[in-house]
Amino acid sequence: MKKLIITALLFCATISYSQNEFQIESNLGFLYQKDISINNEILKSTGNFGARIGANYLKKFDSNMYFETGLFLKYTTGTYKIETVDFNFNSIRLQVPFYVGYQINDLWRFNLGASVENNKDFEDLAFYLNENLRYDFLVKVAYNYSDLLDFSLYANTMVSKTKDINTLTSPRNGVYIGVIFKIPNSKTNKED
Amino acid sequence: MKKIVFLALIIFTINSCTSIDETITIDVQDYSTTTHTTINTDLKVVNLVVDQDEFNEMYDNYNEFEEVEIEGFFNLYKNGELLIEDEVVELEIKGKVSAQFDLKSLGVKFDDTYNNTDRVLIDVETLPFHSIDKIKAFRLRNSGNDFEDTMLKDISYTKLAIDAGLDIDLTYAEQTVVFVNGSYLGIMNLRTEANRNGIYRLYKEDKDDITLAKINHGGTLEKKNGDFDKIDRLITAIDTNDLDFLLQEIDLNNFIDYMVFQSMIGNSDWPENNVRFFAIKEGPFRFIMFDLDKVAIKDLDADPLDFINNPVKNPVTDLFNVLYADSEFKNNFNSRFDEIKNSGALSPEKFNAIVSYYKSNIELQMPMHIEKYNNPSSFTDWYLNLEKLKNDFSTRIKNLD
Repeated sequence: MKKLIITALLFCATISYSQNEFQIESNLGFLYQKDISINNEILKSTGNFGARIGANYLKKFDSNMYFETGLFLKYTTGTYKIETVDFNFNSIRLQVPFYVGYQINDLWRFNLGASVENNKDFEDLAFYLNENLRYDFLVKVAYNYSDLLDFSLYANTMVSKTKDINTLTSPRNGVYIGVIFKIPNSKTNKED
Repeated sequence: MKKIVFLALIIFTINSCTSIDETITIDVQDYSTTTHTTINTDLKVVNLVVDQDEFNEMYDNYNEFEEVEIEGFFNLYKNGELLIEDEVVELEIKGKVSAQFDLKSLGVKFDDTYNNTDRVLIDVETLPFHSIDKIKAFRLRNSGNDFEDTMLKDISYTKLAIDAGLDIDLTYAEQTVVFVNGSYLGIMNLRTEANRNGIYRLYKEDKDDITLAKINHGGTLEKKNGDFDKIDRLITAIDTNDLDFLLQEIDLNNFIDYMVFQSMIGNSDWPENNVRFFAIKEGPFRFIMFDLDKVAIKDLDADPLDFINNPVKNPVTDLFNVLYADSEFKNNFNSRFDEIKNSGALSPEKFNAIVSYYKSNIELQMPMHIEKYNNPSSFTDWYLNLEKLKNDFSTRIKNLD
């Protein structure tokens, strides 16, 4: 599955296009997953809150189709109890999304894609270890509110279904609402 | 604007991390004021009495190429009772990469061989062909490369091999809390040695009858003790594919069990490293297993033969391949592999029970250990690392089907 996603991402990256756009996007969301067990104790997940902030880069390669990528920081916070310890955590991860998008009409556009993010803190990453990276399927719908602003609804779900303790601080599924600020293209403005 | 956005992202990326704020719901003693007499534990407690300046000099200026030994006195307590008093010992730092950690492994060598028939020093179940009645030397080990993770990985995998009743030579360990001159040092595994001092006592043989060689990182052979010509003849036979000689000079049952177990559990710091093989007098060479702290950390779905066929050239891989070309050896190896796999001796349930046992032994002590060393970074992390240890083994074993 990982190979399929990476191939798809590379394919998207090689698509040629004619128009581009930069955006800043921020999201607030709710993250959740099924209960997970740690040391034979099932941790009841009440869900976690999260936020994303980052930049998007869009390239149109057809009148209605475009390729979108970006760079995001994904923040998650939550509280758990494991055996003899109560803890709350704050987790920040780096996420790189890749989408293929479709402009439905003047108001709505729809994105389908995948993302890759660090599955551990950077100081814990090592090339010889498993589970360094995490892959997610992504869906995003954006509503064109004005020339400068879009609103978005974004959802992710982790591709791998095997047990992974790293999901404790970054749950498998998330649903976010967000605001997209479209950075005006200075060249276009001058030509206008 | 774009530059500002990307600059902000880079700054955030550098700070990408997970912070954990935890509240521990058990009583935790303060390591800076706790002594070997005030510690609250059911574990055995070691107090090393040494010249503090000498110890600091050895500890702070450790260099793997320079052997520094200091003299001291070994004291062992359990539940406040003094079990061993002022045994004269020599101490030295052990390990290579793992000696870079703040808590270093210590080699402890008795001036006189210690009589352990009453199981005071170390009390563990052994394989029927091994003896721990007399102990010349042992190690207070920081769990090697697992120091930052669980503190019990090496001893858990070793216990799995012991419980499986395999024909493997190995080390025996018990968890302890160690103090130096009454100051807290940390949780350490009191473990028998895999060197000549460990082997000759394991088999109740004469020290001078042991021929021992090791393979160091990079697959390089190091002749350690005994009859070096015997080691040379073995290496020559491997290089010349002298099957008949190898079938005579290798204890095949031991070699097969050793290779099956190491490849099944997926030891990636082997066999181009962490290999020791020995012979007693003119007997065949046997392999002793140790340092299992890099097991099941990568390639969990790899074929067991991939672990044996390490890309770094080394005598063990070469020896295996010479023998594996022989159909009888190949059949024996494959049959034994299936037998061990299907016996359930290496089941995740058995491994989980071992991990749970060792975990419960040190659980109340881990917060103090973490407070001193910040490794693992939190008590929560330790719990998560234990879960990962079990997950990785379970995944590895399931992938063998």
